[in-house]
Amino acid sequence: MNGPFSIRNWRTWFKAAPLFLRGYGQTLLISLWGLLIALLIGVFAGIALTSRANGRQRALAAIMRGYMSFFQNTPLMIQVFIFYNVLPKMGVRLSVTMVGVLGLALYTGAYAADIVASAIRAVPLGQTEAAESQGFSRAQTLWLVILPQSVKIALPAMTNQVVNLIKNSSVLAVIAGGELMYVADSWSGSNLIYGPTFVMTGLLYLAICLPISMIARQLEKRSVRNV
Amino acid sequence: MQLTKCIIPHTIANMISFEDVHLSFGKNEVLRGINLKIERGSKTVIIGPSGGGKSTLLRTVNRFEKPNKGRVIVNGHDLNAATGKQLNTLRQGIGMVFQSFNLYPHKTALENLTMAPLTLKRGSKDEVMSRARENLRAVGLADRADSYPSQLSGGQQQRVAIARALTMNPDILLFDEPTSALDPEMIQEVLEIMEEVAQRQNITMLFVTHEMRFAEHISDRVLFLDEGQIMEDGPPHQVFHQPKTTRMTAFLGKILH
Repeated sequence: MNGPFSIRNWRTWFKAAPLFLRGYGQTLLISLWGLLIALLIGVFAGIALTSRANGRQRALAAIMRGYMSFFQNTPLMIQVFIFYNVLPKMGVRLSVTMVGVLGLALYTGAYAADIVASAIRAVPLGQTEAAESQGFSRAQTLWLVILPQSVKIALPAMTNQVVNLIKNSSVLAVIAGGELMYVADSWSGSNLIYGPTFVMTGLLYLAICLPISMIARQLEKRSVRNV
Repeated sequence: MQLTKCIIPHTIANMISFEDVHLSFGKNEVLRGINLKIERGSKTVIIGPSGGGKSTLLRTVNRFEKPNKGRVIVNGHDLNAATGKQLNTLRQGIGMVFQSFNLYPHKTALENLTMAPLTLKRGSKDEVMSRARENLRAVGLADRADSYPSQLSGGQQQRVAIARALTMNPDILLFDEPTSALDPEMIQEVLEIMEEVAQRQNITMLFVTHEMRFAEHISDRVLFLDEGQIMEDGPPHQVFHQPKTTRMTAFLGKILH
C-alpha cells in the first residue's frame, strides 16, 4: 500500500514520535509561561484601563490602549519576527524560547487586558460604593471587592484565550522555536512523510485544546445560569 | 491616622453641619443652599418628592457627592479639606445602607460583616467577631451566618447590610431609601429591624425614606426637602400634622392615600 498514509509512513513516524513529544513539551512549556505573563499583563493593563482618576492614570491608560492597538492589529508572526530579528540588532539577545514566551505573552496579554477591563466594568457600581463607604481605599476596594468578582466574569473568555495561545504557539515554527509545529514541519520536510505527521501533530494540539475548550463551555454555561 | 488638621473646633457640638451647601449635576441644581446642624445621637428623617435632592444631601455626608459651594462638617472635620486617606478613615465611622443592599456576593453573611472591620482594624479579631455575631443576632439572622447573599431574600440581604454597617461601630449611619427596592411583604421586617437599630443612642442616624409611618414613629426630626431646599424642619408630629408650607401639605396629600 502506497500513498501518504501507508503503513510504512506510519511506522516511520512512530519511530520518530519521541522527537515530537519533546516538541510537544516545548509547546506546553512556552504556552504555560506565555500564559502566566499574559495574565499578569492583562490584569495590570485591565486595571490601568479602568482607573482614570487622575492625569497619571489617564496617561497610563492611553499607553495601554496604544500597546493593545498595536498587538491586536498586527499579525503575531510579524511581532515574533521583530523580537527575533530586530531586537538582537539593538543589543537585546534572547533565546528562541524567550522570544516565543515574550511574543505569545504580549500578543495574548493585549486581548486579556480587554477581558479584564470589561470584567471589572461588569461589577456593579454599588460594590465600589459599599466598599468605599466602609472606608476601604481604592486599592483595597479593587483587590478585596472588585477583582474577586471580576475573576468569575472573566474566566470563560480567558479560557478561550488559553486555547488561542496554545494554537498560536505554532507560529514560532518560523523562528525555529523547537516546539511541536517546528518539529512537524522540519521532520516531515526531511523525511517526506506528511500524512501521519500532520494528523498526529493536529491530534496532539487537540488533546490539550479540546479539554480546555470544554471547560470554557462549562464555565460559560455556569455564568449564564448565575446571572 | 492624623485627622486633627481638618478639625474645626466650634463645630464639634454637632455631629454634622451643612454650611450653605450647593451642588449641581451639570446645569441641574440639586442642592441650593442647605444650612443644617445635626445633633449627636439624633435620628433625622429626610422626606420629599423624588428629584428633590434627598439622596444627594445624604451622600454629601460621606462625600460620595462633593458640594460645588459651601461645606459639610462631620464630627468636626471639614470634608472638603480632607485628603484621600483622611476621608477613608472618616468613612470608617460613617456607615451607609443602600437601596440595593450592595452586599459583597463573594462573601458569606458573616464575612460581609467582618471583612472591613478586620481589614481596617476596627477592633481586635475577637472583638470584631463577637460584635459581628451579636449584630447578626440583632437582625434575626444568626442562623444564616454562612449563607451567601444570593441564598438570602431581599429583606434578609438588607438586614445583613444593616448589620454590616453596625459592625464598623459607626458614629453615623446613613440610610438611603433602604426599603425602596424590596418586595412589599419584606418591607415590614426591615422597618422593624431599623426601628430597633434606631434605639441605639450613640449613633447619629439620617434616613431618606418614603415610609411616613416609620418616619413619624422613630425620628426626632423631620426635614422636607424640595427643589434642593429645606422647606420644613421640625419634630415629626409638627411636620406631618401642622405643616407650615403648602408644598408639604400637597406632598402629604399625594402620598397618604
